[in-house]
Amino acid sequence: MAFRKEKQSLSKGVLQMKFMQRTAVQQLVDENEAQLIDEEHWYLAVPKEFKMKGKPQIIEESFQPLLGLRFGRQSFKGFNPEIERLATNINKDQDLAESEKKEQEASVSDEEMAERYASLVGTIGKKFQKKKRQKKQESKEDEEEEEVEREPKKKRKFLKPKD
Amino acid sequence: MCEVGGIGLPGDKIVDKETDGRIVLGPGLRKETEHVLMTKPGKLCFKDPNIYWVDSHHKRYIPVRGENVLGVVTNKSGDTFKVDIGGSEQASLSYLAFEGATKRNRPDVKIGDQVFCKLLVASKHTEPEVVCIDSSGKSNGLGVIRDGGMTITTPCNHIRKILSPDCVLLKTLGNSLPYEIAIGMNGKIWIKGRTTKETIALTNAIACAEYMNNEQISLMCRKLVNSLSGF
Repeated sequence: MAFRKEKQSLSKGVLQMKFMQRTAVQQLVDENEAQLIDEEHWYLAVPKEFKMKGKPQIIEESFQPLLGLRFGRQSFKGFNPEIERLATNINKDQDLAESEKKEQEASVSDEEMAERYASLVGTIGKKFQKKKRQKKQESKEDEEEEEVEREPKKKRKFLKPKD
Repeated sequence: MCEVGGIGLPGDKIVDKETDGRIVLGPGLRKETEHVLMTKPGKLCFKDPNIYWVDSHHKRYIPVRGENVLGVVTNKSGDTFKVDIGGSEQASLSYLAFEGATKRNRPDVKIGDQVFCKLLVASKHTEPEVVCIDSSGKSNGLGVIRDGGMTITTPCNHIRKILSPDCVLLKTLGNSLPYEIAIGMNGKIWIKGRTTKETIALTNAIACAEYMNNEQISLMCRKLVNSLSGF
């Protein structure tokens, strides 16, 4: 080690001399090697049993976003209109999500919707067919319908109101 | 081993439901190599889609970044205030962290004032820091709370109950009485009604609702309003 330190402390002037060239080259190479740090340098050698296993996780330390807690400052019945406006604004997103949930419960389910539309496919499809075809198909359908026996279609007329 | 809905102690492994995707670990849980362990005693709770946390009765507040707290200014030194937020250490509040405050125009805050503030820094090793503005420099409901009212301290789990979207307490009271309230996650609640009598009644109602369910709360509120109006 002591020898190395001595070598590093050689001055530029001495190293430039002709008989010192070999030492100078060697020193340059050593320096380059020291600078080259391979990738392993940046990784900790963690033993396998300490590495995280299982499902990936998110850690949330606060209850506020976790439970969807409301904003702490609130006002009721116009006691402090400024705060009331602010609180409703901040809690609006939550209320929206809540009402959306309620709406979904009340409205039609996807399956029901699909069923209804399935019966509509034929009726709407007719619109886009040419007249001749339409008639042909209708007559076909009529034959089928006669077998099933359906109520005859009534032509709607204007009904006079009774006095 | 602790299952969802069961009571566990620190060190217990939790049994998670077999669901896909990332799971969210709330307060009281920690991942240790391949298991999730409890770090707090209490009830293991679960919420859709994938959220787990431990619910327990506790009065000591543990500061968490981003939470709104109600504190009391205890000291003024140089360009910061010291605010007692109920944690293990007092929080610091810069005098520039108020709406409209500049170096020349200092905010009007005195020792003993109450401030509703947001935690900006809350780490294990350093003192917590609170601010009274949001990132855009607006106060948004934060700041000094003045003009009377009354402050009580309740357990932190009670605060979570009051603020949860399912709880009807504040709404039911608000349907019949005009009042203003500031609830900090650190267990402090400031309430102000029209009169002192009403303020006291509201305070009592909120303090005693800890172990009530929604039906009991609405019954209690009805009784309270009736007795306040002299029936």
